[in-house]
Amino acid sequence: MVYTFDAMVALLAIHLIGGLYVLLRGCLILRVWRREAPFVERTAILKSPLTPGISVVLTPPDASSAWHPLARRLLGLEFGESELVVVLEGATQDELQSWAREFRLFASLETITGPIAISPVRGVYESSASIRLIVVDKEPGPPGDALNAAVDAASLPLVAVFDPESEFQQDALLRLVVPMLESSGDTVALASAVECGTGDSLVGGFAQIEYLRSWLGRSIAFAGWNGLLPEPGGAALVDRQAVIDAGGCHGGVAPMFLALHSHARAAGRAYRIPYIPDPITSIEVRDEVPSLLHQVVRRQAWIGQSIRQAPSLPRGWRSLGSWGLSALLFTRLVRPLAEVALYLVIVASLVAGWMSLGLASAAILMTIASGTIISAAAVVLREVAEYTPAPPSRLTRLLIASFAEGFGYRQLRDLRMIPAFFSSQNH
Amino acid sequence: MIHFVVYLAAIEALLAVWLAATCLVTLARSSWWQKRRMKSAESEPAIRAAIADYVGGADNFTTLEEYVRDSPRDVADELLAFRQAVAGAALDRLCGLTIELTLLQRWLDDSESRDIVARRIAFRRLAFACAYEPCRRQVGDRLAAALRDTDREVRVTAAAAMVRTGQLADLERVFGLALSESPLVRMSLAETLRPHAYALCEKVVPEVLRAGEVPSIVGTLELLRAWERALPIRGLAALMGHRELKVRLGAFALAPLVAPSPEIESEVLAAMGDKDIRLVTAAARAAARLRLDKALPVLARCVRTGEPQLLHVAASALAEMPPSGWTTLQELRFNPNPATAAAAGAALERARRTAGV
Repeated sequence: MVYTFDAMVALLAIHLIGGLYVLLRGCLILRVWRREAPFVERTAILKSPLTPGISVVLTPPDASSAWHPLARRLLGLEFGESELVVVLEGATQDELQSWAREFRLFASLETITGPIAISPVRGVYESSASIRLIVVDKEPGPPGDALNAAVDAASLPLVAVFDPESEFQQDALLRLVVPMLESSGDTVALASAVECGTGDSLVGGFAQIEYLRSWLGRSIAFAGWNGLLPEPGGAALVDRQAVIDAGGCHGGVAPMFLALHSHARAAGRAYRIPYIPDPITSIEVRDEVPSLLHQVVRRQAWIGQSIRQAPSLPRGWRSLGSWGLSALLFTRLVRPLAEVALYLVIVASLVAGWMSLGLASAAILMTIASGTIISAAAVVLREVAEYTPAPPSRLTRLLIASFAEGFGYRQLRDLRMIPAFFSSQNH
Repeated sequence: MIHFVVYLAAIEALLAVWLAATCLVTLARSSWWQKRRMKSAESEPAIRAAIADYVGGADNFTTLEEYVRDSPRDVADELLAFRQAVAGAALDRLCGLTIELTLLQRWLDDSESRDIVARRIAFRRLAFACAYEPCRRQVGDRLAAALRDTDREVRVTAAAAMVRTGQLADLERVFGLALSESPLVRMSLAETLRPHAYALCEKVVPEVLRAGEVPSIVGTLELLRAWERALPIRGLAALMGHRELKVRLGAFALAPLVAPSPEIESEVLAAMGDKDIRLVTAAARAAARLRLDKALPVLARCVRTGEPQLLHVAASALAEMPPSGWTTLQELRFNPNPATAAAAGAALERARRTAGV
């Protein structure tokens, strides 16, 4: 028991120091990015024939008419040359008809014959309205099959994916394509930050801190190491040919990014997967713990899927560099397990009389403090990196939330993170 | 066992002290920033009114001088905000005000700053002032020197200001800069240079194409394509047969923008028999845009062979060439190869729908 306690405390100390290092690295990278200030000339991007075309894909979890408004909004995105590819899996006749009515679809003679192998396609539809819309109706397939079908059906060189749960601005594609145009040919994919829309409550503060930690650490710092995996809720843009060369995707967008990293590294090719730190999409989190935990579970499932997929990739555990995946595994699975185990060990030791109440309280306080320090550091380091500081009221609210989250919320979050890591949910 | 917790406590205590100190500094900075923003918001209407008065003909700018002493940044921001609203003599007066208020000298000083952000802002302001000849004289060759700046935004801002002079030497420098920048910046500079496309095509473009440096040729072809104008470009057929694939692809993309010639037509037809699928795709698109009837049999063969990547490109090219292209597609609809029949049928239907037939 003594050794277990020791080991748990040591793991927390490693997590504290490692977590701070990653945040500090994210802060330094963000500072450099802010100084470089991306050059955005939207009118030129919109008008120029040099801008590559984008196929926006929508792979809704079901074929119901509830997704029509989202498809409409995707069709309304401002961009020069773009099309929308919708992939419906296992749609009923009624559902197909509702799509056909809404978008004036007719059965196309077009067939989808690869290059990525997918489950049987039942039909391809195009819109008779003056919009570039392709709807693919197919049999349900394994995870990632709908995305592969969309890549197959896409006729333009870039493929954009938006999270069905997120909101986005009309100029999202114009902003998303910028990093692709900044380099010539070595950018295989990119992802953008997501804004977390919450109220001013304490739970809203918890949500903001969740996103802030992930944004500065897992997104910006990892992008600095060229090991970016996208966040749920964000937008992603990928080179269609790169996805085809990687053999398609076998899960959601995050596993697809991991596969792109792995194949590019295995081929010894110079490549980059940049990150846009300014939010292009936003996700609404209600000021309730269940709503926040839903987002935590989604994020954890994305990472879990990617990590579980790693052994089948060409570079295996080194798909994100020497230690990228190990660090993710440590922070997303080992750390919550260690924290939960530590609480159990403390309770068991108290009951058995192996530990004094004073020592037990000190250990619990240290555990809570380590999480608080990481959260508060994320708030403060963002301020250090940004040229424009946040209003004092927001800063104070976030600092209070970073302190308060250790008393109940973080423990609840840890308990949800462990099973969510093994979840296979796609959306 | 106790030691581990004590070590952790010691680490956390040190980190907590560092965090507390940083928190205080960030909170203080945030409060100062907010106060400054509020002050700017308060003075903004008065500054705007004073500028409007001056631009409208009043000769007294004492109020503005006071604001410049107090907050030169706010006055500069307001001056730049007027940029889109005025033109002609009013714009000259507005730019002249930067000399009267000694703002131009401040910006020139800032343009030498080692801080990128300060330099960037300074050049943005100088670019605005350079719309007025006396300001341009004072700025001198600072803009030309800025084309070699380490910061991309400074280079692009300076380039945009230089193009406004309309002098061929300046245009040539900016054209050279566009060739060395990323595709994104090239797109932006292409817009800036577009009004001077003909002047550049007379001397600068032929020189670059003759020099034979592949990256410069590729960049030039991209700029020409971005201008989307029918331009007098000599020697395009030779570039279509260049040894470098990138140059060839760029030349084929540009082909529809130049006057058709037998040399260009024969290069397009020759490229359609190439092994590289990218080149065949580019040639098929060029053939469609040029409405090259001689290419019909080759395009039909591409559809018939059923090579997945080429199939759709060739079918789309035929669809762009009515009526003979449509007739060919109509025949291919009944081809025994299902992929050929489907692609031909889909392309034909799409073309008919687009044309409203």
